[in-house]
Amino acid sequence: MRVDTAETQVMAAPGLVAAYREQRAQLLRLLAARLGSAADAEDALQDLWLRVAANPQLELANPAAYLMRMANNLATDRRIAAQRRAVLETDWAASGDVATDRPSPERELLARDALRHADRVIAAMPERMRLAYRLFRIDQVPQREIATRLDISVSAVEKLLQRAYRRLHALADGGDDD
Amino acid sequence: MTDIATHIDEAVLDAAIAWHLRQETMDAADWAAFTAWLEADAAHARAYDAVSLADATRHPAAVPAIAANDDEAPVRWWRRGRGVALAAGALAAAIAGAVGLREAGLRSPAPVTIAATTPRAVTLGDGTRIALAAGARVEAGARSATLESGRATFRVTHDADHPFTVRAGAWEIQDVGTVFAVTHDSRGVDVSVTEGAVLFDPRDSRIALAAGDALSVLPGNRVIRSRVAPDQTRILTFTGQPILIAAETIALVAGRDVRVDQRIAMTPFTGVIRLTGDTPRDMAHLARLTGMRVSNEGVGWIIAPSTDPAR
Repeated sequence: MRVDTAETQVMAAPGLVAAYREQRAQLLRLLAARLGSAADAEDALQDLWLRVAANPQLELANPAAYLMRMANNLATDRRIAAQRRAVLETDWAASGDVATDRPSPERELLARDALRHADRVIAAMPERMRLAYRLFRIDQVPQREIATRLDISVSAVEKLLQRAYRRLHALADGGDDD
Repeated sequence: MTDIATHIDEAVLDAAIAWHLRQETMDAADWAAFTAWLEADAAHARAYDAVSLADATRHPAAVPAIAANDDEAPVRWWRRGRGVALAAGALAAAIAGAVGLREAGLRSPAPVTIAATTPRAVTLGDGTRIALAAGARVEAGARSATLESGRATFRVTHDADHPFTVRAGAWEIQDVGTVFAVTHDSRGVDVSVTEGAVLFDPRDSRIALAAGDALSVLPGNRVIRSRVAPDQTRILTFTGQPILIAAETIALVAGRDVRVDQRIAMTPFTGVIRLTGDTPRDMAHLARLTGMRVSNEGVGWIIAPSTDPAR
């Protein structure tokens, strides 16, 4: 059905397309595991295909891993969208602003507030942890390079990041309503 | 609703973070192992969600090559280029009459007008709830409402003997026990059904829309049918219609101004467009799908031929 219109329409990098065909079952499994529904997984896979097909000729060392990462990111986006919808639906009874697609000023404030909280947690991290986190997450420096820069082992970088994420998680767990 | 952050076992949380941190360097075998870990226990997927969703929200990915200043309050500047307007006129002539136009007569006694400056909801005497988006104006009467402009979602208390009718411009939508959203502005009228069913234009064309169905009426009574996913993502499928039609539908559904360069306005387009509500991302996707240049010029989106092959 609608899959076909898209699949015949677009040109794509042959390497990625071949990898997509080979990995299709694995991609679907990952998506189903993340999304908890076979139908949603199929839908997300269709979305992934569109992205694959629309990509310029990409030279990839490992197209299979690249596709799995794309699928995983796509699943995260979808989970975020689903959560937002769920919150909107619940808000219906209280304030009824489900009709808006844009974040309400209140909600935007809350989101900004949450970001400021996160900023504070990051600011309160010990220096090395903060540095490792910033390099990893904001500057997107590979962990191996962070290790070189901080002159520590890769596993030490991993531990720093692990603890940084624990702190940020504790924040989300406790403080998301204020 | 914060059950997202319900208790997560420490060890599971650590594992989720570890998987999340490894992403960049995972090979196919690692990904298979990750999938198996997710599948092993629903709590694993939940923990991974907690980690990855929060992380993505903290540092949203940038949308490349597209201006991101799109989420301002809607500004009315609607004025199309002459070439575009002419093309639209010709099309309208070709398609007009496919659906009969009906003038909606007002008959409800003492209607009240509700104008929303910020999103708000009202409950009518029969229990029907209307949620208005910012800027929407609704005139509500007994078992009927007129959406004068903007977007509103209706959760209708069904009464088979007295169907609830929503009017939007020249159109009527009649509920069959339902949650549905209606948009009415200068770009047209759009209806999407989340629950139950409605009858669009009940007196003439009687188009039944069930849950998941959506319908857009562009100026000139051009009707575009589409689907709406449970997460409200709109799925528009085009099979050879001019890009202009796709652009007008996107503009109506997304509530954004979208113009088409007249050189490509009539180029047939085939493909599936998803409107998730994240307009910059949706537009980037559209650009990849069509091979066109889709840019935000500050006053709205413009779809133009890709002059620079590198874009």
